[in-house]
Amino acid sequence: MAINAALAIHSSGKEVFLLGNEAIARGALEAGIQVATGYPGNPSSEILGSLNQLAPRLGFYSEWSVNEKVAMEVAAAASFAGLRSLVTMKMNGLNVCADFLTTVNLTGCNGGFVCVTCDDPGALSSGNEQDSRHYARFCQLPMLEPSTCQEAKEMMKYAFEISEEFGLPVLLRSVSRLSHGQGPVSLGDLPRLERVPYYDTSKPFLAAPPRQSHLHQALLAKVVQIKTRFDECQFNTYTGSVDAQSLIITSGLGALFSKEALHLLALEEKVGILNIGTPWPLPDELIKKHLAAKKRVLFVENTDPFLETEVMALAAGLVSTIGVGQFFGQRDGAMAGPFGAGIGELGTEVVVKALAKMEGASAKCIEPRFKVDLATLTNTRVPPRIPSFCEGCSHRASFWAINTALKLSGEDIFVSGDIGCYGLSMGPTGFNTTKVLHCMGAGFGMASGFGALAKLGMEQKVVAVVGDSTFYHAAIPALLNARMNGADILFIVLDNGATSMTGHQPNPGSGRNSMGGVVEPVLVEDLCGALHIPVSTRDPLNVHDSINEISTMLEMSGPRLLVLRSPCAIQQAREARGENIKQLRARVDQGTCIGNQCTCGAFCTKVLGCPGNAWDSETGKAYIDERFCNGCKLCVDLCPVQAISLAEVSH
Amino acid sequence: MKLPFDPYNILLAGVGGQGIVTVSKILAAAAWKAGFKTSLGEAYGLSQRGGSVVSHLRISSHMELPPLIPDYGTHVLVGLEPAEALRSVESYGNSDTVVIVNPELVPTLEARAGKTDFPDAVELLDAIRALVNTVIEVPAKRLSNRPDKTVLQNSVMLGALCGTALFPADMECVKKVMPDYLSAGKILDANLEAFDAGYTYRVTT
Repeated sequence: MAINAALAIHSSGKEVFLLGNEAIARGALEAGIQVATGYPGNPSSEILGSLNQLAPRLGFYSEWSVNEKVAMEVAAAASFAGLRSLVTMKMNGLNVCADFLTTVNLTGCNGGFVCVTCDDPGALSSGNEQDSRHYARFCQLPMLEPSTCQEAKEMMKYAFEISEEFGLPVLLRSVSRLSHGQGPVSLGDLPRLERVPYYDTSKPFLAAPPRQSHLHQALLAKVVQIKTRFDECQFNTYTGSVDAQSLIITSGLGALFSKEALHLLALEEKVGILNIGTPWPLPDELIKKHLAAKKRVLFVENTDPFLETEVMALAAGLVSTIGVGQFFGQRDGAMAGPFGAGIGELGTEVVVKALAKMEGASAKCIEPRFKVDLATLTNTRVPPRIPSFCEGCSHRASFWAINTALKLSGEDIFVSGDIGCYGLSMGPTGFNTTKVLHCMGAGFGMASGFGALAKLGMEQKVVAVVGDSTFYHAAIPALLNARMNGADILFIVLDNGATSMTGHQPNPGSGRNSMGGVVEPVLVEDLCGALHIPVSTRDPLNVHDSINEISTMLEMSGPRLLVLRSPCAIQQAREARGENIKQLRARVDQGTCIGNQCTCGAFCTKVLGCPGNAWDSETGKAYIDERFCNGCKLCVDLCPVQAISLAEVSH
Repeated sequence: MKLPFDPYNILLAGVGGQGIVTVSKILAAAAWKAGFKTSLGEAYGLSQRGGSVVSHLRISSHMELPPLIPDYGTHVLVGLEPAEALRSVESYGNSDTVVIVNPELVPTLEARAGKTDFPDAVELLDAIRALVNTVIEVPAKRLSNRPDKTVLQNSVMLGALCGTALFPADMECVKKVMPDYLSAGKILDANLEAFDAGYTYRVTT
């Protein structure tokens, strides 16, 4: 990942164009963080990715941790020792951290401690679209939500100040379109990093009975004080006319979508916008002041009706003083995208439709206006592009081997999978192999459960498949569980040497650490050895050998594990280009290829489906699209008539 | 340069791996350096593995804009691939959208494997022409002079966009920004050459 040089500039006042995630990283640097941790996850990865590259130069410590909970605990330790620290994650990471988050809110913190959580409304690359703001309320922790890249940077600094003043971790919420969007940012100073870590054991952080009620009381008292502070906070802003009769209450990107919607409908004089930069604790007095002055309120937010629910509860308590207002939002269906309220990304057109309802305006400006009605178009339907494994990906080979071995066994066996690049195996690119898939580590966890059902008469068998990073992140406890409870399962770890889906970050098996240093890798097979779990290792690109080994291991009983190890094809190709290594490319011999007389009508194209396997409809033969060949040899080994061979290509 | 509309909305559509992200960043940086309020909306993720990629570039002389173009609100659509261009026109275009498109098809995997049909370039461009008034085809593959280096076609399209005078920063401004996003040496030089080819094509046709 190319580092944006602007992040390390010391000169204050310069304006640069940054990614939202870079702005967040810069904010952390300007706040003087000395420790930064996280786990890769879209849309958050670039924050720590940038910081990792700058850490050695700027003199702070930075690491990709094994999972988000450990990452948070590492950052908390730094905070307890008096340093400013940062932990970053995608929103699902909060689920992994929840146990710690719900105790560290009670013990508090010392040096400023900020957790950045990046949400993915519309689940563009996630298994769900959860709204992190709920965690702020649940844990009673302050949360900030920026609307622009500049605000993201400034809020980071403010977050550290609040955290230190009140001794509480602070959450900052971003969403994918802010994290991966770009905007102008004015740089501030980079401070000297001078604190020396020391944990004062005379003031220990202890979350254990019988102190809970006192700690809880202290936490709520802090929240009341912060609420008062937030009533005056510069990030809670009202834009609009004092005479406006209607109000939009919003946070984050909602503020910009609202502003544009008002502009499109020419309603700027009639509707004001209250942008809540501090969604928790809510600035009640500020909100009450605006509720009293307006007749109609529209809630604009990504994803859940969080502000809507809280503000309506507040308003219910005010009925006797300010009367009853009219509220529009997700509850009444005014704010709804194509899938309904609270589902999918926010956009200007969603706000326009809602405003049209509240203000009785026309929403024509966002309606289609083409030369002809879209529906009358001829049948030129554009097919969807289904995500698939890259050319040369070892997962294609692994899932071919797994699928083949399962079919050859003649038994009823299914695969419990997990998330990462290999998660695509639930689709055609992985031969629809994975039949159950949830969150990090559930692949092994659920297999452990299915395996136990044999005791209750289940005849089906299960094979569990996870990637290397997932294994270290979450699957080890399930492996221990299987060992302890004697589950009869074949576990498979696909080890391609990196956390690939999110950008090839290092993990304990990679042999390198976050700051670029070489470290001894933790090998899956060594762990299994220590656990007395029978283990074997194969290269999935030796596909026939792998099929045999899987077949053999299927016959075994008890927990056993197979490591299918081959480096990520994309990473390998990059390294090869860099070193000018001679590369191999496949080629189909047109004489030997039997065209659609082949198994399944053309094995390499119709079944294997590597991007390099292409079909020439004029000659009726397969060929290799050289733009997409990594020389992995899989189609060479599997072609039923051995029509494909490898040849050297120099660069 | 004055904006033809304010906000001014430019959408870029293509296939993951073509280089859209880089092209979008170059244009955004150029617009910002030319003094406009600029927002760029992207999503990195599964699109990397051969999926559809769309970037939203928003430019204004006075308004801070959200990172997504409202439905049917695009003024200029740069299609690095015709199927993605059609897909995006249907959600984000209108009859007045100027579509600048590279007619070089990138069929889906299933289509290249002969598993499913895929419309041909003529069919796709006709469908776009049925919806909008102005379609500018740029034969980027031929203009790039390097049929093996498909990524250069993006710079041809960049040059062509500048050649239409539809981009509010002038072409020198765009070329000055390119070194910040492309490796110095052979890669940068090849891209600058491709840019010039696209620019010249538009200016002389």
